[in-house]
Amino acid sequence: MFNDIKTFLQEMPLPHYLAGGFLSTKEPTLAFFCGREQIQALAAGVRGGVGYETSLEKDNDAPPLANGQANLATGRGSRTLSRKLTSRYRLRRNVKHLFVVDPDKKDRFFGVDTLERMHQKDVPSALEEMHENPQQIFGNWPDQTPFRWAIVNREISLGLETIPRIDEPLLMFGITDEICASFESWSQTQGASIVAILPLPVAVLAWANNTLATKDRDSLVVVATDQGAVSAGFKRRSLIYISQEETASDAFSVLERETDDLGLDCPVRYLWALNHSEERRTIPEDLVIIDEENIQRISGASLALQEGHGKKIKHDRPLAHLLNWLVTQ
Amino acid sequence: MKPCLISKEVLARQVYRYHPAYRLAAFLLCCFLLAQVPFVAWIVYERDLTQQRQARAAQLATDTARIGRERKGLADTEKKLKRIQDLAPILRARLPISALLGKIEQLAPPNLTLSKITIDAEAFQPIQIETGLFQAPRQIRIEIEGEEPVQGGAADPSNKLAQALLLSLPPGSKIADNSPVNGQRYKTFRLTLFAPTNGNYYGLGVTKLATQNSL
Repeated sequence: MFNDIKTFLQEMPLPHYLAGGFLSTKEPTLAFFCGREQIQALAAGVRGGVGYETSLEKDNDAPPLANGQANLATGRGSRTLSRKLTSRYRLRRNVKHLFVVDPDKKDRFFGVDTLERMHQKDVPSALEEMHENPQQIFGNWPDQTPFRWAIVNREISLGLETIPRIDEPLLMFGITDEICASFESWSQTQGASIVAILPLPVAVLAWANNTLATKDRDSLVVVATDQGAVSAGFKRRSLIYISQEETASDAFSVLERETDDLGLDCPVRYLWALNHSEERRTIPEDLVIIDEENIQRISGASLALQEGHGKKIKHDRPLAHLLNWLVTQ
Repeated sequence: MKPCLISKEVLARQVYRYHPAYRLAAFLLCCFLLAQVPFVAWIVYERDLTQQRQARAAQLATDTARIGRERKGLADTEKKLKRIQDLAPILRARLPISALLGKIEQLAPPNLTLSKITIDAEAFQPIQIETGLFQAPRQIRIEIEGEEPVQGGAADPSNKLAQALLLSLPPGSKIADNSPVNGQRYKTFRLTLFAPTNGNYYGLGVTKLATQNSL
């Protein structure tokens, strides 16, 4: 009891309380996308996104990049980046951070499996086993680098606690502890709390399963990022397959081969690409590309967000829609 | 949203931000600390005051030491002054004899013959000065004897002298005796007056010194 009180007094977030934390826990969210070379951010109030920053990587106080490397620029200003953004978009000072990260292939892991095959009774015990003994879960686990793990249900519901049956497919994903710790450390310097750290492919798959017409038809989704491509197969809304490939075309080739084994019925093919550089000659023609041209049709409306210069402009890049969707979850 | 990939330590810290019990505890703690502000202000004020007092006391101690050093040089003068002050009761108990005689001469009517004037000190009190014991009088007795012609129905010249002299003597003086003895042509008289030694003798024509003694 005495130790609890002592710890509370030592760790008490007094600036957070004095900035209104006593009375309200409704805080604005700063959702960061941290890629290999670029950092973008969406500032969101209670009702959703209000501002968008397209290139924060040059800021002296920018969050770490996807490899966990912090900006080495010196001369940090008197105000933190979070403080600058909340002032710019007239948001409250107490903020939450949400990180969507696109780490290198070796720093991330995705898998679909059941508790039964993992010989685990429930999700907490599976997480504990993955943390302590990944070789036991994944068979061949070469890397000694410590990972952090998460498990979500087959619908990839990011807001719900996962209580699945033992024979139900689950999405397991992880990022190296070092990268996650770098984001936590940066948030601490900003005086913010952290909502979650999500790998970009997982966030996109959750958005796709929630937004696209996956409840009506089986679907194959490929998420192409700077760090390669992730392919996923959905049987209606249930994720049943996930794999990492080098390129989007590789991913679609693998999915074509797996379609029959997965028992998918005329699946719709979707491509979510972070950049436009994806070579489209080798990818299927009957493909729905989630890009600026059809995002309005998919999401229902364009996003009108203020930028650093103060003007509101339309944002139809898939990443902006993704971040805006995530902050409402 | 589920806190995916967040460490337990960070989640534990975040509980302090959002759990109502911790927020309430922090609120109460802040209220308590806020309530201490006047007390702290008072403490600071008192401390400031104490420092001022100590500074003043130190300055006074310095001044005292300086004055003490300077006074050492005046010790001899102080000793002399003390002796003079000790002599004050003796000096105060004095009678300006010449002024009194001059006044008697001035007031004595022409038909009055004075044969004897006695001025004597009485009612002595002991006064200790250093190691010596002195007797200082508290009262002066003035005795005037003489003759006056017998004048039927006229005012008694000795009585006239007595009244005039009484007015000139200090307050508190009194006529002790005025007893004429009738003779054939002249009658003799003895006039006795008592005067206090510590009164003022301005009535006798004594004046203050024009300049005050610098001692």
